[in-house]
Amino acid sequence: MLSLLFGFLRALIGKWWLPAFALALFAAARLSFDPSLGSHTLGTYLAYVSILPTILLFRFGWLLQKRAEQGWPEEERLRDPSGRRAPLAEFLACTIVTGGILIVACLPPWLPMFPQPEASTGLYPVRVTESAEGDWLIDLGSKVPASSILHLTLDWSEVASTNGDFQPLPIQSPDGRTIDAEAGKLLTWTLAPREAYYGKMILQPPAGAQLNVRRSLVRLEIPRPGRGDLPRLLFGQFLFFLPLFGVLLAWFRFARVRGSLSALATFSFGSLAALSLQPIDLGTGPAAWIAKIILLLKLALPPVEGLLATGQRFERVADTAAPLATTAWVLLGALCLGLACRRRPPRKG
Amino acid sequence: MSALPVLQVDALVLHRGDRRLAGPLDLQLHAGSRGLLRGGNGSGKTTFMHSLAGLLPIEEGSISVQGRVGYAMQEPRFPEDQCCATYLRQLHALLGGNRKQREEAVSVALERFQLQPYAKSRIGNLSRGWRQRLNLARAWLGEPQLLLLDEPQTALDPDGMRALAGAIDSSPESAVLIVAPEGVGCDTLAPEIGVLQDTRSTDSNPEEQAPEASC
Repeated sequence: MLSLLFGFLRALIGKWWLPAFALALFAAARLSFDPSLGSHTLGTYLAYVSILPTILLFRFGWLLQKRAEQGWPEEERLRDPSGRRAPLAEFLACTIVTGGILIVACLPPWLPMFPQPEASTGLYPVRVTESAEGDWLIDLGSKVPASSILHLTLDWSEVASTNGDFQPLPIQSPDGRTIDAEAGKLLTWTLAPREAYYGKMILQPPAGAQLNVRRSLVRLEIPRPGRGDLPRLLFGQFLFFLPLFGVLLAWFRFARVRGSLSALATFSFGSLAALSLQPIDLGTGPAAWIAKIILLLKLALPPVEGLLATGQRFERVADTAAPLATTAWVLLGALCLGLACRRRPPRKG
Repeated sequence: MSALPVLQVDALVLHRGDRRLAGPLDLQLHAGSRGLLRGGNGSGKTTFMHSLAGLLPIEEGSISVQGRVGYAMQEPRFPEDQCCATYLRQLHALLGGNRKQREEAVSVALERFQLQPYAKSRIGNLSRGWRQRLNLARAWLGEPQLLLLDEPQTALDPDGMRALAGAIDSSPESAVLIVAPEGVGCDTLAPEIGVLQDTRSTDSNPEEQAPEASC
């Protein structure tokens, strides 16, 4: 098994791929953290880094096809009755290379040659409507990190005052949490895990108090993960890509799809899983139907877009993948790997 | 000879696509026995060997193999960028076993076909004859119970033929089945046990179709 693993590893990374990956990581760090070149955010760096496992995915597909043309499937059939050794070695090799890339990717932000990403936060507008009972129905757009904070600017102009002084008014949520709103100050509401998970919440001002919320000024503050969070975020990427190698193997070995097409199908599958759903009106045209089908397929997958938090708004999805969803995603990969290890009857000549 | 034959073929009919190639075929090979099947171009020799090796599905008849099969294909494919010894090591790793067993098996396989000088050569740099020796060496790798050799004489020089004959002689526990066309020098390797006929040439007279092969 080790011999098979090392053989496949050698084929996968060849002579030039390791230096190429190292150079790519250096370029990614330079492009991300240099204030004159990049956006100076960790999200951009994570986006560049995620390209490397994606390249590996396509190289894996190409290599599987090449090995098929070199007669490996026949030799495997003749020598390994279980049919497990080769796919397991292939999967392990990809796991090792991906893990290696992502471990090395933890280093650049700590190197003195790169400016450090500064601690910052992302601010996002939030949709607020008012119910018939006067409650504030707050829609955060999608699942958000549990560390998010909601800032509401309140309009006290219709609230009764005593000599121009306003008494603090208790604002509460249906689960009983209460915070006092004070005139002239922002109302800051730390999201409960449940509110962050569902991306929707209700706040109840005192009945008849005439306290209104300035809808256009409601903001959701999400702290941006710093470089100390990088290992955790890259581990998320690792967990995201790991099952995809199993999926690719299943396409190639179980469904007997050509290597490059398997890689393309797996890439599409991964893109679907990484898709972040936004509440938009799709309309009714033919394109809307395609979009609806894509959304349906997306909904059939575990919600793991949080594992691949990348880009300038990466803080919005980072850490939103629930452990259960992550487990389901990994199990999906394991299931595909299991299928890839199943010996299929020979093909008709 | 053990009671159970290493290879038992019953009423096997060979097809390529929708076309019937040959059959029904019956064949039995015990451990230590050798057999040579003759057949012209398109008679189904390679299809027959692929079926025996489990690389093609069987549509009619049955094949039973006791033990592992080593198969030297007529048109072998190799990873051109690997060196011979590394390639054989990886093939042996598919069988399982430990490092010591693997090194020993690879060494024996290389020695059997005098491939030691080429152990560290890239397969892509080998001549046709040496590739054929590697093809045979990989068939023998791990001492399989049944050896299927599809036109093994291809591209071999007299030295290579002697190595092949020596390899067959030095495998008294294995059953060896060779398929080859008429008059290519395989007669000395194994006794003839039958002839595969292209059914297209006998379609006009069904009674002449595909004589039985038996051992």
